[in-house]
Amino acid sequence: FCACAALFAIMDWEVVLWVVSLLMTAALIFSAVFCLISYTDLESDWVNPIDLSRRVNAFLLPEYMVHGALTTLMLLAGQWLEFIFNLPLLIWNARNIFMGNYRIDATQVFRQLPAQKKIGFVKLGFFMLLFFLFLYRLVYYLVNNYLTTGPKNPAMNFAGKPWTTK
Amino acid sequence: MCPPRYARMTVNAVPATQALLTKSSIPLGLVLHPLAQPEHEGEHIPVVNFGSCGIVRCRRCRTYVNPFAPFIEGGKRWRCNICDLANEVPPEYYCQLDPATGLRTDVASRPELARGVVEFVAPSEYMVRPPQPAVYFFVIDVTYNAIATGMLSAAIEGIKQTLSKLPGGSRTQVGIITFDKTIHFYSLKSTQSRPQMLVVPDIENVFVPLPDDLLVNLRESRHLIDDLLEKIPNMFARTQQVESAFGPTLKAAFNVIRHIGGKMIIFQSAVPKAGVGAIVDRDDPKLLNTDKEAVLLNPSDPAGTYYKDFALDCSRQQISIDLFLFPSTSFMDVATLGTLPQITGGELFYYPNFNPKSQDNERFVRDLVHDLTRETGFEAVMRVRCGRGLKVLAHHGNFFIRSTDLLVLPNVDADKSFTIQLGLSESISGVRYTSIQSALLYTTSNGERRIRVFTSCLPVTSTLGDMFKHADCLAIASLTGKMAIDKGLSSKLSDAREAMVNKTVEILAVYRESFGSNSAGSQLVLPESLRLLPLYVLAMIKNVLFRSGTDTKPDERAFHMYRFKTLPVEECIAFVYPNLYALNNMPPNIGQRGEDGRIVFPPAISLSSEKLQRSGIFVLDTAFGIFVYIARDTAPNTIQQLFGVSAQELAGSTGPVAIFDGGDDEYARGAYALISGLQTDRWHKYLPVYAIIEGTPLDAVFFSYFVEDRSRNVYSYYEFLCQLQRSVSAKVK
Repeated sequence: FCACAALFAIMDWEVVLWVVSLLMTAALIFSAVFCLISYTDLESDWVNPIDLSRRVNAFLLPEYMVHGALTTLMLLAGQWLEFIFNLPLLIWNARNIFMGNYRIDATQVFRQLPAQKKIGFVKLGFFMLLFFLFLYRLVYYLVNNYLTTGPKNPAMNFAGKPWTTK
Repeated sequence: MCPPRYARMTVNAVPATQALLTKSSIPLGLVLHPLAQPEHEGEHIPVVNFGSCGIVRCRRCRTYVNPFAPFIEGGKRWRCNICDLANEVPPEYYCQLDPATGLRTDVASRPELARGVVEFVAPSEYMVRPPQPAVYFFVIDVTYNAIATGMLSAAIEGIKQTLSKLPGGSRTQVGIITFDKTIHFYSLKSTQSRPQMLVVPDIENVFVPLPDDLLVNLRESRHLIDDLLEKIPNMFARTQQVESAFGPTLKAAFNVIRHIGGKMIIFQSAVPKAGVGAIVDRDDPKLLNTDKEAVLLNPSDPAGTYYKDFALDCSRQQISIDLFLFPSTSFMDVATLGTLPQITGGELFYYPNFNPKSQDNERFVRDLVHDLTRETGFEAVMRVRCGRGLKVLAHHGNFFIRSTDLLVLPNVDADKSFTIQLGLSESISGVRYTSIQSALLYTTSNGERRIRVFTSCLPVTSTLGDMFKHADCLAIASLTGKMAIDKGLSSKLSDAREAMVNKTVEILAVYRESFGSNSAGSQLVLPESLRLLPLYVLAMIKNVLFRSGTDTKPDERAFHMYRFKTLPVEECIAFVYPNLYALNNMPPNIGQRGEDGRIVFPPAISLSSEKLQRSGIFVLDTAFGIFVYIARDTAPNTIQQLFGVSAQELAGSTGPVAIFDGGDDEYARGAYALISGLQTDRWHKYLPVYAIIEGTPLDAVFFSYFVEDRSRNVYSYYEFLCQLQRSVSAKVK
C-alpha cells in the first residue's frame, strides 16, 4: 500500500490521464461492437427480441455513464479540444435519457432496427476516432517528454535515455 | 388465386421497379384474415394429410408446395416460386405430367396443387410440445366498483352461458381467480364437494397457494364450477374494497397457467392502483386537441413497461389476454392496458358507462360468448414468405414479432386480421409473375396441429396504368388508415390527418400527370378504381380515430385505434364509412334469403343528410353497432312494434336497446329482418342496436357518421374534392 502511495506521488499525471482515457474508450468500443453484433444476430435469427433487448439494455446505460465520466475527465484535466469533441455525443445521450428512449423496446425492435444499426455504426466510428486520438496524445506526450529532452525526474527509470549522453 | 377474403392485396399487380412503386405512391400491402369464416355454408378449406412422405416444402426457403410452383423434368422436380430452387419430388409424391398442359395428372385430386387456400395436418416435427387443450382462465375484479357498475353479475352470467359452449371437447380446462386488494384463488378439485377459496393478501410477493386444482378439466369439475359461479356474486355483494391490485393478480394468474398456456380473460372495472403496475391518472383535458394528445394515446411509463414486459412473458408461454374493461367514469388509461391484448394476440373490449339495466348487459354477454366460441387457434405462429423482388416492411395487428417475418400469436381467431406492408427489394423487370405465401401454424381447439397456407400469384407490371387498373380501393384505404394510426401515435394526430390527405393528393397528382393531361385544368381526375378513395380518406379524418376537437376522450380513441389495427378490410371500411339504409322504399323481400341463399339488403345510400326524410326509419350499420334513426314523423305504432316501448321511453335511453319482430307493422318487420340479417349474415356476430329519435341529444353521434356533410371545421365531401383538386393542380404544375 505504501509502495502504491509512493508510486502515486511520483507518477506522471498526464500519462495516467491518457492511459485511463484510452482504456475507457476501449470499453466504449467494446460496447458499441457488442450492440452491433447483437443486432446482426437478431436479423439472422440467432437471438429473439426479448433476449436481445435484455442484452443490449444492460450495456446502454453503462456506456452513457462511462462516456460521461470520460468527458468530465477531459474537462477536469483541462483538455479543451477533447472535451468539445465529446460534448455533442454527451448532449445527445442526455437527451435520450430524458426522453426515455435509451432502452430498446422488444415489441418495437424490428421497426427501430435500421435506425439503431446506423446509430451503432456512427458511434463505433466515433469511438475508434477517439481511441486513436487518445493514443496519439499519449505517444506524443511520451515522445515529447521522455525521448527528446530526457527524464525530468531522475528517479524515474524510463526507457529512452537521451541520445546524447553515454 | 387465393380468395380475397383470406389474403387481399392492395394492388393486384406488383410494380417491377422501386422507381415505379415510388412514383405511383400507392401503398403496397397484403391484408391477411387467416381464420375468416367461409362465405357460404358449403364452402370450406380442404384439409390435406401428407402422411408418410411429410409435407412437401422447398429445401432452401421452406415454402410449401402450392399451385403456382411448376413441376419440371417430367414431374421429378418442382421449382419453388419463391426462391426459384428446383427441388426433388419425394418418391411417394411423384406423379407424371400431362404432356398437353404440363401439369400433373393428379392435380384434381390434390387440393394443395389446385387451390390457393389449403390446410395441412401438421406432423409431430411441427410441434414443440403436444398440442395444448383449450384453456380458459377467468380473472374477475370484485371491487366495489365492479359491483356498483353491475359488471360482476354480468360477467358471471356471461361465463355461465359460455360454459356449455366452450370448444375443445373433453380436454377443455377452466379456472377462476377474483381479486380486489387481495387475490382469491379457488380450488376446484373434482373430488371435493365444494369449491375452496384461498386468499393471498401479500401482493408484494405473489405466490400461488396450490400447485394444481386451480386450473381443472371442465367436464370433471363442472358441478364445482357451477356452484362457485352461484356463490361469487353473493360473496362480494357487500364488499367495500375499492383498491384494485391488478398488476400482482396478473402475475398470479400467469403462474397458474404458464405451464400450459391458453386464454386469460380479464374483467376489470376499478382503475388499478395497488401494487405493481398501478395506473397514474394522467388524463389532462387541456391536452386534447393539442400536439401533445398523442402522449395520452401511448402507453405510459412505468406502468406501460411493466405491462409490456408481462405481455412478452405471456407471449412466450403461449398465453393470450382478452381484456374486458368497464370503467365507470374515470380515466382508465386504455392506452397502457391495451398493450396486454395487443402483444399477446388477444382482444380489447371497452364498455364505458356500462348500464346493466339496458341492453348493455346483453351486448356484453353476447360479446363474451362470441369471443370464446368463435373459431380459435392456439399457440400459433405465422410467417409471410415473399417471392422475387418483394420484402416485408412492417406489420399491423395484434401479435409479437419474434424474428423477421415470424409473428407469434398465442391465440388467433376468426375476427383478427393482419396487414403487412410490402416493398420492393430488387428490380424484377424480367419476371412475369411473383408469389406471396403466408402460412399459419396453429393448434385447433380440438387439439389438432394444422398449417393453413395461403398462396397468391401476382403479375409483375412495368406500367403505371396497370397498377391503377388493379388497385383495390378498400384495401388501400384500410392500409392507409392503419399506417396513419402509427403516425398519429408516434408524432401527432394532425400529422396523421395531413399524411392521409397528402398521400391522396400524391396518388391523384400522379394519375393526372400520366393520364389526365387532356382534361381541363379545373377538373379533378379520379382513377376508375380509386374513385372512392377521397371519400374514404375524408371519412377517416372525421372518424373518432383521427377526429380533431375536444369531445373525444383519449380512452375511447385509444380503444378504437387498437381495434382498428386488427379489423379486416370490410369492417374497417364499414366503421369509417358505414352503410346507410333507408327503409322507406324497400323491396318486399328485405331480410329474407334470395335465390342465391344470401340475405337481400336494400341498396345503401350515401351518407349525406339530404338523403334523410321527415318520416321513416334509417338503419346505419358500422360493424361496431347499428344505429336506428327514427325520423320525427314516423308512426308511433312502428316504434312500438319494433322496440317494444313508446317513443318517449326510447328517447331517454342511452345504451343499446332490444328489438322485436315487427308484428303487424310492415316497416318494423322490415327493419327487424334487416338488422337480424346484418348480424347473422354479414358480420356473423351480435351488434348492439341504438335507437335514435330525431331531435334528441344522441343524434349527434348519428350525424357524426355523415361524412359527406360539413361538420364543425372540416370540409364536406364536395369541398374536400375541391380542395384536393387545388392541391393536385398545384402539385402538377
